[in-house]
Amino acid sequence: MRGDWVVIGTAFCYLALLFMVAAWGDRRAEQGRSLIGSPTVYALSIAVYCTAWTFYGSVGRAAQYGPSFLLIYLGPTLAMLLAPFTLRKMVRIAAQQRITSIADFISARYGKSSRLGALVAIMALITITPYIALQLKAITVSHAVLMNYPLGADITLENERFWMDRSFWIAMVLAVFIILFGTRHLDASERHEGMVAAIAVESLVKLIAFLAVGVFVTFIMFAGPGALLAEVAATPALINSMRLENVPGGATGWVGMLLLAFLAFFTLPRQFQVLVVENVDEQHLHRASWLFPLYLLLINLFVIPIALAGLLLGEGDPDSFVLTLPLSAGLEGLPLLVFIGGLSAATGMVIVETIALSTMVSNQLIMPLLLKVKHLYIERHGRLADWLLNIRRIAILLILLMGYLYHALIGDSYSLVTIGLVSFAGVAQFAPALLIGLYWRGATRQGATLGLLAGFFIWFYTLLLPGFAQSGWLKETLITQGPWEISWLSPYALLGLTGWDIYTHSLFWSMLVNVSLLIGVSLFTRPTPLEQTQAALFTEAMHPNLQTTSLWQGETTEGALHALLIRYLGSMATQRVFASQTAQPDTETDAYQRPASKALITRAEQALAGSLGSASASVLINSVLRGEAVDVESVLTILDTTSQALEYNRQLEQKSQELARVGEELRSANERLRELDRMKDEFVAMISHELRTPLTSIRSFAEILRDTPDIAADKRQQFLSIMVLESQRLSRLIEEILDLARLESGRLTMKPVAVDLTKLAKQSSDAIFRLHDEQSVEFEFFAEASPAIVTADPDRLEQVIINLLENARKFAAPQHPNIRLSVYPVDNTFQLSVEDNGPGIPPSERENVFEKFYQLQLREHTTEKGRPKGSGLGLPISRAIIHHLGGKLWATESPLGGTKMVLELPKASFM
Amino acid sequence: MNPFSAPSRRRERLIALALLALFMFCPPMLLIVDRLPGLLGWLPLYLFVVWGALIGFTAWLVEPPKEP
Repeated sequence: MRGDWVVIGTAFCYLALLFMVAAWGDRRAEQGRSLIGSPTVYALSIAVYCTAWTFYGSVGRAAQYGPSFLLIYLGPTLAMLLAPFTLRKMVRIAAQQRITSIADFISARYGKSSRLGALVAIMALITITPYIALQLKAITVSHAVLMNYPLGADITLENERFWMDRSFWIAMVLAVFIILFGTRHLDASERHEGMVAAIAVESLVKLIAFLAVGVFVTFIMFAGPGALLAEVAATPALINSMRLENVPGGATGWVGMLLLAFLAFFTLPRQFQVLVVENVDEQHLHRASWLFPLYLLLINLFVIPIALAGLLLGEGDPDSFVLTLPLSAGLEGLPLLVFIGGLSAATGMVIVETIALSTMVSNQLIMPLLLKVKHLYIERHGRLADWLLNIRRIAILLILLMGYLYHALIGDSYSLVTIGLVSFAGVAQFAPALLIGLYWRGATRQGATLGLLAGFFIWFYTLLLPGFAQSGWLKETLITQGPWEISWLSPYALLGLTGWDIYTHSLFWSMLVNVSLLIGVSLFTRPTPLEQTQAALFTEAMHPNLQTTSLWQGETTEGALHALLIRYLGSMATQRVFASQTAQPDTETDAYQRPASKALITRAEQALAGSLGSASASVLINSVLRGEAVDVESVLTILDTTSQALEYNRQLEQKSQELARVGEELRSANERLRELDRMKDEFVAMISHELRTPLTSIRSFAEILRDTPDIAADKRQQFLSIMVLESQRLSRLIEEILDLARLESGRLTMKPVAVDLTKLAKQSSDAIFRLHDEQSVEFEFFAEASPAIVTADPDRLEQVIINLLENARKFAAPQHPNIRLSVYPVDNTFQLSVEDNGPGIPPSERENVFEKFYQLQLREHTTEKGRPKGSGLGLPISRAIIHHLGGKLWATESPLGGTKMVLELPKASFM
Repeated sequence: MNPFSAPSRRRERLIALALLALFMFCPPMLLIVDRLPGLLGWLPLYLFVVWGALIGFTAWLVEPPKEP
C-alpha cells in the first residue's frame, strides 16, 4: 500500500491542487474579485512562519530541550501584539514608496542607497540558503522515513548521484512552480494573489495534519493526556524533561531565544513579504494580531504530548516522531497525511522565501549592475521588461540550486532546529537598521551599513563558522581552543563569556556591536539630503497629512519619461502611468517637447520603484533629468517647508477644532436664549389673558349695576358676590404670579426647619374640609408615620398640600367625591399622596400638568362650565417649591380611579 | 463619548498588554512557576494558559464590537 508511487503520486496531486488554487486566485485578482481581501486569509498566509522546522523540528526540540521550542512562537506573539505600532507603519511606508522587499525597505530608508540594498540582499542570501536547504532536507528525510520504516532514514540517502537524489528533483519541481506563479508580473510590489491564496491553503493543511497526528497520539495511542502523563511520571528519565533546567542556557537562554524570535519575525524575508508587501489592507493587521498567535498556539498544542510519547516508546530520531509514531501503530493513511502536512510546511516556506529572495537579487544586485553598463539602457529598446523577468526566473532557479547544494554538502551534519536558529540569528541583524530607522530620524546610512556589517561578521564567526567546523570542514579545535589557540577568541565563548547557549551568546555580541555602531556612527555622520528626506518620510509615515512630495528639481520632457518607462516596464505599465495625464501625446515631436509635471515624474519613479527597487528607480529618473536632479539646498527647503507645513497644518487643525467647538457652544446658547424669549412672550400673553377674564366679568357686572339703578335687590346681591369672588380670584392669581416670578428668579426665601409632615397634612386637611362639609366629600386620612419629620419651610409646604387637596376636591367625581390623603415612609424619604376618584389624567398628559397655565382638556370639565377650574399655576408653583426643598412631585394613577399626586421629601437627618 | 478617545485608549491598552505578556514570559515569573511543587513541573501548562489568555485579550481589544 505504501508504495513509492502512491506517495509520490499523492505529493504531485497535492502540488497540482495548490497550482489550481494559485491559478484561481490569480484569475480572481485579474477579474477584480480578490480572494485574499480577507483578514483571515492574511492571518493564514502569515502562518508561512511555521515551516517544516515547526512541523518536524518542534517535536525534536521539545524532546531534547523541553519547553524552549515554544519561544520560537512566543516571540512572534509579542511582535503581533505590537503590530498596530510597528507593522502598520511598515505597511503604510511600503504602500507609499512601492517597496518590494526588506532589502528595498532598508535601502529606501537610508537614502535609496543601492549599496546598502545590495548588502542586505547578499546577507539575506547567505542566511536563508541554509534555511531553504532545511526544507529540502525535511521533505527528503520524511519521504525516506515513510518508505523505509522501521529501518532508519539514512539508507537511501547515501551513495546516490544527484540525479537519483530526490531533494534535487524536489528543488527543481518547486522552481518550476515558483517561476510560474512568482514571476507573472514585473511589478514586484503588486501582490502575488494566487501565491498568497495557495499559502493560506497550505497553512490550513499543515495545521490539520499536525492536529490529526496529535489527537491520534494523545487519545488513541495513549488514553488521553492524563494516561500519557502518568506513564511519563513513572519514567524517571523523563520526569524533568519539561522543566526550565532542560532549556539551553537556562533563564538567560530563554530570554535570548524570545528576543531572537521576536526580531526574526520582522526581518525574515518571507515574513516581510507576506506581512508587508502582500498586505492588501492595513486593517487586516487587527485580525491577524490575535488570529495568527492562535494558529501558533494550536499547531503547538500537541508538540509536548508527541515528544513525550516518542521518548516513551523510543521511536528513533526525535525530528521524525511525528511520522514514526503513527507508522509504529501500523497506520497507512495518517502517515501519508503527515507527510503532506510536512510537504505543505516546507513548500510554503520555499515558495515565499524564494520569491522574496529573487526579487532582492534582481532589484538590489543585478539591476544596479546593469544600470552601470551604459549601453544597456540606450539600446535594448522595449526588451528590458522581459529581461528583468528572466533575471528573476534564473534567480529562483539558482537560489533553489544553492539550497540543494548546501543540503547535499553540509546539511546532513545539522539537526533541523540548529539550521533554523542559525538563520534566525542571521536575519535578526537587519532588525536594528529596520526598527531603529523606523523611529529615529537620525539614523544614517553609514551607521546602518557599519552596524549591519559588524553584526553580520560576528554572527558568521560565532554561529556559522563553528557549524562548518562541526561538519568537518574546519578543525574542531577552532571551537574548543579558539583560532591559533587564543582562547578568548573562541567562537562559542567570546571574551571568555561562557555558560550561555550559543544563540544567546551570538545574539548578544552581534546585537551589541550592531546597535552600538548604528547609533554611534549615526551620531557622528552627516546624512545626505535624500537620506534626510527619506528618514523624515519613514519616521513620519503615520502622520495623516503626509504626502509624498516630489523631490525632483530638474526638468525633463514627457517624451523622455515615456521612452524610459517603455524600456523598463513595457507599454502596458507605461500607459497606466500616463493614463491620468489629460491629453495623450499626439505626435512624437509634441510629446518630446512638453515638459513633464512633477507629479508625473513622481508617478513614473514610483512605478519604476515597484518593479526595480527604489535605488534603481532613483538612478533611472536621474538619468533623464536635465540639470541638477537633486539639489541640496532645494531639498532642504522642501524638507523644511514640508515639516513647517505639517506643523502649521496641525496648528490650524487644532484652531479650527477649537473654533468649531466655540461655535457649537454659541449656537446652543443662542437657541436657549430664543427659547427663553419665546417662553417669556407666551407667559406674558397667558397672564394677560388670565387676568382679563375675571377683570372683564367684574367690569361687566359693575356696568350693569351702574346703568340699571332699579335692579332688584337679590339680583344686585348676586352680582356683587360674583364681583367679590372674581376679585378674590384676581388677587389670588396675582399672588400666584408673584410667587412664580420669585421662585423662578430664585428670590423666594425659604426658612427650612424640621416639620412633621403628618401634623401639617392634618392641619391643612382640617382647614379645607371644614369648607367641604357642605359638599359631603368622603375624606380619608392615613398616617403610617407619625411623626414624619422632614426639613421644609412649613408655610410653603402647607401651601403645596392645600393646593393638592384643592385640586383633588375640584376634580373628584361630582356625585360621590372621595379623597384620600396618606403619609408613609419609603426608604429614606417620606411620601405624601393625595388621591381622588375623578376622571384622572392620561399618562401622556401627566408631565404637562406641571407646565404653566396648562389646562387639561377634559370634556366634562370644559364643557360643563366653559371655564377651567384652576389658574394653571398651582401645580407649577408646587413643584418648584418642592424642588427647592430637595424633593419631588409627580402625578400617577390612583386605585380610586382618579389622579394620585405624590409628594416626596427626604427624611430630616438628625444631628 | 468622545470619538477621539477610543483608538488612543486601545493603543495604551495594547501596550500595557504587551508589557504584561513580556513579564509573564520572562524569568522571574518563569522561575516561580518552574519551582512550584509537582512531579512533572507546571511550566508548559502555565505557558499555554497565559498564551491563550493573551490571545483572548488581544482579540477582545482589537476586534470592533459587532453592530447590532
